[in-house]
Amino acid sequence: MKKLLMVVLALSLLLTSVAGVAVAEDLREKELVTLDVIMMASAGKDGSGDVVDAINAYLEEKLNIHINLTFISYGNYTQQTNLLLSAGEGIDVFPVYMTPLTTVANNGQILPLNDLLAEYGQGIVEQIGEEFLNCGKVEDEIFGITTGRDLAASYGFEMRKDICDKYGIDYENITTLEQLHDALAIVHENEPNLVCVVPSNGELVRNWGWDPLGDASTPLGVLMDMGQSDTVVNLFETEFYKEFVTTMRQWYLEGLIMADAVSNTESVGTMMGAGTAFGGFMNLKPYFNVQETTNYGTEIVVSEIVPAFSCTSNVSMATWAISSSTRYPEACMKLLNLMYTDPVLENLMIYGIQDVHYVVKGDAANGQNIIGYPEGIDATTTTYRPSGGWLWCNQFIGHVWEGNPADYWDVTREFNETAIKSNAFGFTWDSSNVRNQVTACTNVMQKYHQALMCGAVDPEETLPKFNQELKDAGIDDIIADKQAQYDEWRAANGK
Amino acid sequence: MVEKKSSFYFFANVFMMFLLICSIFPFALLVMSSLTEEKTLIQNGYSLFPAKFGLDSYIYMFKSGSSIIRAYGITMLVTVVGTCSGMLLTMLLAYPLSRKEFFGREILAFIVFFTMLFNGGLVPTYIMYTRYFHLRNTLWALIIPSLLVNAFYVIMMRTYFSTNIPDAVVEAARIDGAGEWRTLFQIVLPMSVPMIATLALLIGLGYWNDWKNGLYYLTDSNLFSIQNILNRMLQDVQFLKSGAGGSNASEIAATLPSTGIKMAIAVVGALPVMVVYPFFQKFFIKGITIGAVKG
Amino acid sequence: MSAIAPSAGKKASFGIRFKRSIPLYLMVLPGLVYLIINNYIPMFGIIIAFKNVNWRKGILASPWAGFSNFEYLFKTKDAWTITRNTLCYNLVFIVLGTVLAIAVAILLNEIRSKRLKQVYQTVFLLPYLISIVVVSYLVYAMLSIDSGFVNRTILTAMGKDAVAWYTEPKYWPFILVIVYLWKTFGYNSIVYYATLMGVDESYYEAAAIDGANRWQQICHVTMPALTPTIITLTLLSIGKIFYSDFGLFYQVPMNSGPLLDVTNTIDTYVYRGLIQLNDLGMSSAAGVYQSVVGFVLVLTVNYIVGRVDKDNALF
Repeated sequence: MKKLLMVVLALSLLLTSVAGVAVAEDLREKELVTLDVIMMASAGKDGSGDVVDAINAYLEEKLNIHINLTFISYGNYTQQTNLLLSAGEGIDVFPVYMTPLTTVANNGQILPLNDLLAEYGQGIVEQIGEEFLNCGKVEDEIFGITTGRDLAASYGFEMRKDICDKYGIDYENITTLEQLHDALAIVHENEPNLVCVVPSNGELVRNWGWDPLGDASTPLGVLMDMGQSDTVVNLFETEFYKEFVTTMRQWYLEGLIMADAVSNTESVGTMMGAGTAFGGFMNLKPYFNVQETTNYGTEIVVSEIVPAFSCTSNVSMATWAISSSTRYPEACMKLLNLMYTDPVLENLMIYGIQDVHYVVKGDAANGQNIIGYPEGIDATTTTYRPSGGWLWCNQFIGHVWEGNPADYWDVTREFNETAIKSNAFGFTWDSSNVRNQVTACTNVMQKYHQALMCGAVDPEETLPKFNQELKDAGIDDIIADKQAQYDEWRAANGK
Repeated sequence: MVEKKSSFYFFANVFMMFLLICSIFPFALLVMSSLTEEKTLIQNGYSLFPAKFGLDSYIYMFKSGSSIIRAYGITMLVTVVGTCSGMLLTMLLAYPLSRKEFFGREILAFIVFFTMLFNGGLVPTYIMYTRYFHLRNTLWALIIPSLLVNAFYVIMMRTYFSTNIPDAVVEAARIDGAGEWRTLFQIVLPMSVPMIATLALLIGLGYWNDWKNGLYYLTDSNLFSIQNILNRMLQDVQFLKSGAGGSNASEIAATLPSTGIKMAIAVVGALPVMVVYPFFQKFFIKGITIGAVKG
Repeated sequence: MSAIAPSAGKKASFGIRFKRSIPLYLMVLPGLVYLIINNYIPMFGIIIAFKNVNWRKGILASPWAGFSNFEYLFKTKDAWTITRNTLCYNLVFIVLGTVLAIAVAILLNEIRSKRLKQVYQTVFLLPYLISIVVVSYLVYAMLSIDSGFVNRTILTAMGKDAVAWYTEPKYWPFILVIVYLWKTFGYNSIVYYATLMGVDESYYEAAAIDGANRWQQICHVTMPALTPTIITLTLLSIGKIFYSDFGLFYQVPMNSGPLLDVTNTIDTYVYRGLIQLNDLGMSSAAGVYQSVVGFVLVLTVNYIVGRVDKDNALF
């Protein structure tokens, strides 16, 4: 008798969950559930009360869920989310950013999402696509869901149009470093007081066509040629790297690169805006020049030198995850699913309330609107800030901010899909076997890498020292470990 | 007594003047650059005599951080409550430790001192205060963790008591029939005004300058103290240096405070102490302790 | 331990001493409870250093890691550099910092004019009030290659070439010491000055009557009065000798790579190494290592102090 009851119970559970997918109404929670949603934002914009009320009214109707929305500023984000996660309080759904996804997953701070996605997250799978979702995998489980943004990057140079026009620089046809060098030389000769190349915050270029197989700022063991090779190599021993840093040294000695390269605290944009700089290397995306022009108030143009390509780190750099301490994993996934698929909700979250925080200015290609600030409000006076949309779940389904073309999101989607994919696209490296080597090598790298890239030190003398210290710190173990994990992954995925 | 106007005083004053300039010059630079127009600052760098003045930094700060006034209020409240209660606990802990006949004083002194050397680290402390004491997002979080009793101050106070309050005074009080509490509050403390003033100043400075508790325990920016707001702005700038990636980093960069604002932030944080500090100094006048013993 | 403690006056029996001490115990209670909650209970967290923490299992149920979390602190070639840097800088800070702070305190004490005293004290406190991040901007304003005050004004006036300060390690030990002294001397001298104000004026009068000049008065009255404070502060600094001010060693040199040989300390090494790994076990291990070394050193020094003069030992 008891057994029969169990079977019936199990069956009925099964039935309800099947029905849940079929009929949207049944997704609503039985009792009102309140979830803590954490989001990153710039300081000082916390007039979010009305927006949260509007979101909650909408969510209550759809899912019977309320949210507490907490904004944490950039600089405090890593520290505060880490603490919230370790105490397991006040955090249910949040974007993982700045801390590598593998770390958070291995620490057990977030939940594996495979089952939840299968049951409640089909909308997400549809929106983001299997291929990009798989980049959020640690071993076989998806832990983080990437956001709708540029998931590939091309690399190049951004510069001021007024100077280009003045000296007839044909920026559209600059595709190599040599061509760029010639252009910079002209600028340097005629405008000796202008800094030609600014390394923003001391970093000249983050990537120049290699797959870092892990976080982009620590390229310890990489795949060269935009990840088209299958052998993990030491970037700093390659001819490619040597050539690049030698060229940069040349540029530095010629006075093309800012003298204060390693200790610079300004970003290239600020200096271009102030009229003290010509340009700098940048990580590009479609219509990047439009974004920069609005940000800095001087017209910016770009030259693409390394074509768009995509590796796992571009995708897994910012992902949404569910805290392992949450009491309502299903509700969290339902909420996430809605955040990825529902334009009404997503617009509220990214842009605030219509006619209060923004007004409609035209039609966008995705059926939404082109929007802008209402009369009398600007970036400094608005109470709900429309920046950081890329870190919200899926800006592709929402409005387009004015200044951008109507088909902005479609072009970005296409950019993601057509970019060259690294062979290791989808592979995520787990560093836990070689923790000691990683700490040591990271320190060595910080000692030399940036300074070499900026041309501030002589590669003839420094590069051999750099490589010797890396060897001593155990970079070969890291490379071997990466290669082994990568080969295993290739075998498992039939590549 | 004939005052020897010797070379000693001359050198003393020269030395102090040198230190004075060393201390004041960077601060003057700070104030002036916060008053420099933004573009001039980037073009010409820092200067004591900027080519162009501008109040933009301050205007931006008060506009974007509408909460600055409230944050000042919170800082003052926290500083006053924290300093008073911290002072009380410190004195109560230090006095028995200074009494030679206090049974178990060496063990206690060690227990106090040990806290300066070992700590459990941030994460366990955080878990304890948030899970079991529910301090997260309350004003208590700015007052209680780590700042209330500092073992170092306890030991300073104890040392002061035991070197400056003669045993005879305490002994005399007891013979007069005063209990320990009365001895402490009516005899020992009035003799220790300079030390109390100093510690109050140091504890107060600790509260005034603290941003860590806010960073750890507050996610609700309505409760932020002034230092939390200032530090948040500075941290946001640092954040880009620490390796925020991608094309979106430049979007973030555009929203961050500029050089002039960083300087204005520093001025806003330090200035009130400059105003309050001279009031403390009247307690530092020498000779206030004399009387009770010599009498 | 307490049995050896010199009791005031005649030796009282155990019971009487205990009874007399009851009000004193009551006084101690609130502060003690606070220290137990704030400092002692979280100390259980030290076990994190010996665990591979997995938050889904909880700290206690996480697997043990033995000493593997500590390995990275010792295994590499950098271990020597960072230990040397941390120790040497701290020793210099302790010695020079104490000397300067005492000198300033004594001079404050000697100066007659109340107005001047007030001005000095207020202004000396200024550097302490500026956040270290801002200090790093100020240092940059001084040392920047093109626009820095030193290169532009001082070196040009002396007819010397500009120096690329942020890529020349040899200058940084001096720069860091100067910045440290500049930032802390005001605060520390207040501590010493407070002690001096407790010194009875009659001692000086007596010394003057005995014919002691200013210098002799300082040597024979002021310095002895300061000794307990000096010992307390020094012992405390020794306890922190394996720690370093992160801001001073990371922000002030602008995290400049070429300077790392002379600016990397244990704290900055751990920070740089763990940015990516974010491993709680490893960062806790560093903290435990720093505390244990400090603790052992303090016990040793305190023991030596106690042998020389029982009254000056801390416990």
